[in-house]
Amino acid sequence: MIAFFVAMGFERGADSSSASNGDRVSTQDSEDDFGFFDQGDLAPSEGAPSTSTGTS
Amino acid sequence: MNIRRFESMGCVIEVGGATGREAATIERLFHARDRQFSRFRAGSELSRVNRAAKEIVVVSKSFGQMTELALKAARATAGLVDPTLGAALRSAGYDRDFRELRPLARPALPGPRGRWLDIRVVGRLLTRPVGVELDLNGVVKGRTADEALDLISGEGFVSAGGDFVGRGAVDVALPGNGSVRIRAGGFATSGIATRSWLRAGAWQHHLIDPRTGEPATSPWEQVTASAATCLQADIAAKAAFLLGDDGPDWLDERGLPGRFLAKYGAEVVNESWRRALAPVPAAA
Repeated sequence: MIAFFVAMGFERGADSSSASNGDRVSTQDSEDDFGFFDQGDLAPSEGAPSTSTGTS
Repeated sequence: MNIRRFESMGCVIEVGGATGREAATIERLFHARDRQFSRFRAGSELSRVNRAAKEIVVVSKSFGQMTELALKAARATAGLVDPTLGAALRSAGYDRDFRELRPLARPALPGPRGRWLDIRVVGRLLTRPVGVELDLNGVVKGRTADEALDLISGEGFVSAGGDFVGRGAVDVALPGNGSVRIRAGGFATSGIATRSWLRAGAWQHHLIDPRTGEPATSPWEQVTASAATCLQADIAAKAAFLLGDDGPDWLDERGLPGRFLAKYGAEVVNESWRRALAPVPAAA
């Protein structure tokens, strides 16, 4: 495994201070498109708005 | 409810209901994420990853996790919300902080199409084809707003340039007119009303269609969606915008309320939106 990465070569994008041994994030989760989203709780307005969403 | 404001990630952030200490922690969180993920900071981790000349890059744990979230969003939208459109945004002319963009005679160029399927994250190793540029902005802003809300001990909200997430009833003004009450969860508006610019007399915008690598053609000017979290709402609103006429049904299929403003002011809402905002019958 190590030899593979040495052979491929890699670059360091992270600050060395942020390194943490053993951190793993799986990319293989089986996530279908319907499992990603859940419903919020929306209702009719009952007063003057406190804020606005703006637009991203 | 007390509201505090500060600027980060190129927009005004509003924090409601937080104590002074909580608000300060939230502000530091936004600034830290901006330093790490900005496309416009040469020293950001994202810029270093995008410049890397090798396919495999060592990234921080948080960078890997944010990329993984972006890949989940891409998977959930069949690739419509694609995190590999950084170069396409530059080709369209969005190569600096939005407030610094000026009309130019130079035309925009078609950019590369999305390549999210070529991205892998394994632990702190990220692999991508050299030259593919990540843009994680939407995911970072939505996720950071969700995490910021978790830092507020009581009821409150975080609003960040089109993204909103709250706990406890908050009335929120909608684009155009009207307002809704958000009792819990996320709410986001994506559109071309504010982030558009001119290149050679032609309007460009930041919502890139990954199928073409160019600013999307959509009948909508702004799309608002509601979901359980800010991140989900932001992803849903973007996908619905990019889907054009199919956007309202796509949101309905996921049970998500959506409101669509057409370019000439017409308003369309989907069935989930109508149900959520139907008047509650008076008790007999």
